[in-house]
Amino acid sequence: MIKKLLLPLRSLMRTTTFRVAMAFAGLFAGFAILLLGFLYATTVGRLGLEADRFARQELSELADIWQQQNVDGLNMEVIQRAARASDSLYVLVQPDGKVLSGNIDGAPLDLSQVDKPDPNSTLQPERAVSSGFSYERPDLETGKIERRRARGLFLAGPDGFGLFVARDLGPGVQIADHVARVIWMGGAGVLAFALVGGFMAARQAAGRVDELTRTTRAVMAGDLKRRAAVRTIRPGDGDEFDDLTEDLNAMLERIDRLVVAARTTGDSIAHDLRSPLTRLRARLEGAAAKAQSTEELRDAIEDALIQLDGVVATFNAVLRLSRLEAGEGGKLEPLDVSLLLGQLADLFEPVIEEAGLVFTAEIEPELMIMADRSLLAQSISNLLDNAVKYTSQGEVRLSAKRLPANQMSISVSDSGSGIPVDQRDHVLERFVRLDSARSLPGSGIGLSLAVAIAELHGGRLTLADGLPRGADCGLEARLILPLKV
Amino acid sequence: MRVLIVEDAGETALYMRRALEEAGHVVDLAADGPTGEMMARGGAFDVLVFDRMLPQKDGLSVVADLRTAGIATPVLFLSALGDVEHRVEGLKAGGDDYLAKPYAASELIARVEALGRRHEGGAPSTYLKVGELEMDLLARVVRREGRKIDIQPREFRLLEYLMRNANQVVTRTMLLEKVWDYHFDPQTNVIDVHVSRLRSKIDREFDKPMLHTVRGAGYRLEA
Repeated sequence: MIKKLLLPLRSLMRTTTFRVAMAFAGLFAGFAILLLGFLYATTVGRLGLEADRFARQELSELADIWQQQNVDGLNMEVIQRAARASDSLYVLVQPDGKVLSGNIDGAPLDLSQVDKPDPNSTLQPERAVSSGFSYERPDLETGKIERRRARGLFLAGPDGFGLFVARDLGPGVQIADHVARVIWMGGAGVLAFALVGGFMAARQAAGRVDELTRTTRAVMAGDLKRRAAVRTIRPGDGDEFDDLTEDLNAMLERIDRLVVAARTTGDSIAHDLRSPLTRLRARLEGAAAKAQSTEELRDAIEDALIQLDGVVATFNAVLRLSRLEAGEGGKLEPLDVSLLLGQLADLFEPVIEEAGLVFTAEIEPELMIMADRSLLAQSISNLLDNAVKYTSQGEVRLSAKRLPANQMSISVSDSGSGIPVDQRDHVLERFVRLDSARSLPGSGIGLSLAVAIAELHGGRLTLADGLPRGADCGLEARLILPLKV
Repeated sequence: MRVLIVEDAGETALYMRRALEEAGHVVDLAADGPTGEMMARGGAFDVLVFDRMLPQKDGLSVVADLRTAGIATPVLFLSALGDVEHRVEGLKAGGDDYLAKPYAASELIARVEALGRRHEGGAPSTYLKVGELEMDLLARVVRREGRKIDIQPREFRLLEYLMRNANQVVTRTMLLEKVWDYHFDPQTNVIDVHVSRLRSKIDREFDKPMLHTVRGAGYRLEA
């Protein structure tokens, strides 16, 4: 049970927050001790020195009396002085240790520990022993017993008597003591507060780090959809943990996408190559079994070769798309996209016209972007290809123009049957072909490739209504790209 | 034409040799980089065909070393790596053309022959003549049997390429690469439409057709 409680505590103590809290608590304690030292040096220390000076003065006077009038005279003097003194303290001790006279009870010093002077020598006040002590006495005004502090000197006489003269350190020390107590208690309070606060801050931070750790561990364990919980905060109000959480989630999103892409590559190769390969196999099998003439065999083989080329083309497109989605391939260089579009218009014009469609190109000159010429050309070629394929009559238009905010657009619009609004996002995914397009040749990868290429160029691909014609709303595929700055 | 094929996959190499030999060429084989390099340095070949990935020394390094040694024989790279940057790497290493696997035999033959011819002809001429078809590249005029033929700029470049490779098969991919400088599969029959438009101009009003479609391969301009 205790072990169970200690374990999280130990792991808590390892956290940076807790350690910082502890360091600050330690720093504070050190500072408090320094402050106390200073306070003592300036009050108690100084008062002590004064008390010592007073005691020395008093002692030398009494020593004179002792010298001249012996112990009896000294006793009389001590009794007198003790009677009128308030802050001065006197004790005359007999050789047997009993107090002969004075105004405090008992000797504050253990006489046995004071070295006795030679019985034949004279008094030597300079050899007096200094000490500080505390004693109890009733307060002069209230009569309440209180503990007070004093400092004094002890002089041992040759005859075995001892004289103790001291001075009460007065109310200053009381105040200093009080302040010291406050500092100690306050220090203890602050220390406790730092401990508890550090503990709580550490626990809170640890809780949030724990969430991140739990998330990464879950992801490592295979739960790729797991995301770290995000606190609801106003944008820009988040702390570094929120930033980290968001970054982590974004990273997981990307990893997830890559993994999905990798998986889809396999799936889609299987999906899209299986049917043409099946057809191919059936065609060759049929020819092998039934062909009557060399002519028929040759036809079958040539047909198979064409299908095989289609398979290879799809395969290449899938690989290229995967590489693009993994962030590989593509080298961006300055490109006059107007020139490129002019060339593409030139390349496609005959085939579009041959399909019985009107082709128009409206290309603003000198649009410079950073692009991979070949990939961009492929992307636009895919869009033009789609436009021709899905437009039975009317027009195909290629246009490019400058947009605000340093952007440009390349549009391929047609007057075909278009794509229903609710399916437009869907068709941008891989291998999606609407049912209406199943009969037409193609792999359904063209648009996904165009999307990936747009993203490589820091742009995006959007779909909208194109050139309406009768009941058809047409389709506009629009590539938004940043202009070269 | 004497062709050296450096390819480590034996069956592929034999298949290529048979295809090129049937097209009337003399073919030597090498199966690894160093052997291929040695043979290329020693023999008088018209075209070298290098696989990109070879045992011991890869094709790119071999060709780069050959070029450094001053051997200018045209090189065709074959590779399973077909992306644009791989092609650029191949051309940078000193290759003259790049063909991604898998490829049609006709494509291989057409490219090898195009490379061999390019090596023969010295400075590019400004006047081309194929049979009765003439092209003046400076005046940008095309004539057949002395009659001027009105031709668009894009058709002019297409015809120029066909005339420079007259009597040889050129494939659709070659046209797309060499005339338009695109290295992707445009899916639709863009090239066919261009060729048929060109054909309608140079052949329609004459008895003998010059621009032939070669089934399963591409086109050939014949004198």
